Amino acid sequence: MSSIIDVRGLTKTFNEITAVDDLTFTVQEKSVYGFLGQNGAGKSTTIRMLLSLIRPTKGQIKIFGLDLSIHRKEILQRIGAIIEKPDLYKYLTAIENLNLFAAMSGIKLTRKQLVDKLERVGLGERADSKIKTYSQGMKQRLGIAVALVHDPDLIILDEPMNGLDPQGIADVRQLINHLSKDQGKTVFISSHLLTEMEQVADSLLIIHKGKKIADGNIHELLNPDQARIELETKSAKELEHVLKQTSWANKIISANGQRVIMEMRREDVPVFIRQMADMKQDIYSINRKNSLEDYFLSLTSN
Amino acid sequence: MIQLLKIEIFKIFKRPRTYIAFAVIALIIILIQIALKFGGTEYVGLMMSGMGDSFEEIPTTVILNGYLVCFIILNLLLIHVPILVALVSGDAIAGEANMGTLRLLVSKPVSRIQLLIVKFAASVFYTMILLIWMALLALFLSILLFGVNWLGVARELQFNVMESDDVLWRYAWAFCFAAIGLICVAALSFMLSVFSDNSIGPIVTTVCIIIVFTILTQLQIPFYDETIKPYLFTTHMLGWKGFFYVKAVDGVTEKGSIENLSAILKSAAILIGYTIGFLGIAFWYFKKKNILS
Repeated sequence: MSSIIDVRGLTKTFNEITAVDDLTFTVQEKSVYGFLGQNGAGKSTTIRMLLSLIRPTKGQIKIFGLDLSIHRKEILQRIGAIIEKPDLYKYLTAIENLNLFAAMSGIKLTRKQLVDKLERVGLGERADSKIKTYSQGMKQRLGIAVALVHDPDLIILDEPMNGLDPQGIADVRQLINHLSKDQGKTVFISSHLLTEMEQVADSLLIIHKGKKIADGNIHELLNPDQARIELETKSAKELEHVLKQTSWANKIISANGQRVIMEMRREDVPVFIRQMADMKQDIYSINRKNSLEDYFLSLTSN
Repeated sequence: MIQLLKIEIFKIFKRPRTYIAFAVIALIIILIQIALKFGGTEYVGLMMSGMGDSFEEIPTTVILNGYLVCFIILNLLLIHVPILVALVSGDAIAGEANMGTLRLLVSKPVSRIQLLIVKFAASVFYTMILLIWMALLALFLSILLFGVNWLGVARELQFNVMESDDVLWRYAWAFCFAAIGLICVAALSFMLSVFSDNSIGPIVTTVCIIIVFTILTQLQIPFYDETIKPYLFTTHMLGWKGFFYVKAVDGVTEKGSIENLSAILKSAAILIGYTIGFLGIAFWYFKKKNILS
């Protein structure tokens, strides 16, 4: 697989403030690349630089192997994007908005083709409604349709699940998987919904205060072979006492109140659960703790 | 480029606010026409007072014809229409920034310069349609309601009379000149629009500039006549009147003549210069602008 986005030493300063600081990363072709960071971490500034909305102070951006500062038009021809929120022309209908942005990308589509594209995001029936009558979730879906209208090779989605209901989130997740796995598109996505990111992203880039703090394959970053689990019980101290009589004693991380946290190999988890049942221990719930959220918080919290 | 221009024109004429200007112009012109239809005798009497006995015998219906009504309307309106032009050109870039669509437009495979060219061209198109609408109502509706006859234009120390077959071409050129003036105003508000993320700012600033400059233009203070007035674009926007100032030999108007064509051409050149200046600043700034809205 070749790289689609190649960013080297990207820096952006606004007066005295450094919004993005010496950022270097590579996005592989046909992958879903998750881009994470707290509010104000520099995500939107980075995305805007990738779309040439903001001029970098330093560094180089290559997309499709071409330098963005030289080949802007050719590159943008092959990119579809949602930037922050999908603001569109409220006084126009969905189909008029879609047609307008298709034309701006040099694409001429028939009404049927436009309706088909709207149906793909569940808006076929509201094709002729003005955007001002749309809910936030519907606007978000239309924003995705606009981003995809010219069949781009690279899709940049900044918070695409904002304002969507659970069904909408599931639909977007499915769409991203379809675009990446079935159609071979590259998706660069930023989102605050870490559980969703965990489900769709192949690779991750985490930035904090404009600097890269983690980058790589999501499975390698989250170390799936090692499971950190949280047990809910009647009394953590009692359970700890019982566990200390067994071979699981050295797996205990902490035991407080009603919660015991343990770390073990993933394949040992079912063995442990069976043993707890045999020992007639009252365990109310077991949750895996090495999620993306935990990983993200461990990196970004002070 | 043509496709992009079509898109911009489509967006302008899909907005309800675009039609406010057309409604306002129609309302003002029709109100003036009604007033002159029913109270024109007093108005003409006032206009002709001090002109001597030679005009006393001429019936009001002859003097108050469609050509004079159009001249009165243009005199009143051409100084205020720029405000309506600013409604669209001041919104061209700032309105997109305010709606949040500017970032989507700039991330499309269209150069920023191309985007500005089509945006300004669409504003010019709107201005021209507005001017044609004004011409239709002010000239042709007035001709329909008041008929045609010779046109008398009162000046400070003289009264210029033009035969009825010597008037229409003057209006054609006057409207062309007005177009240059209005495009200059469109360029000013367009430039201000590039600097702002909210369309209220450039529209209000344009209106304020026009009001201040117009007051300065009309101030009868000799000190300003040579120091400030020659440099104000509002001074030169009044150049359209020059087409109705004629040469006279022994008190007889020379048909087809223009008293001072070079002054009209100079005013047109200055307005074009201002337009190029405003657009130059807009292009220079927008090319390097960070789109943060």
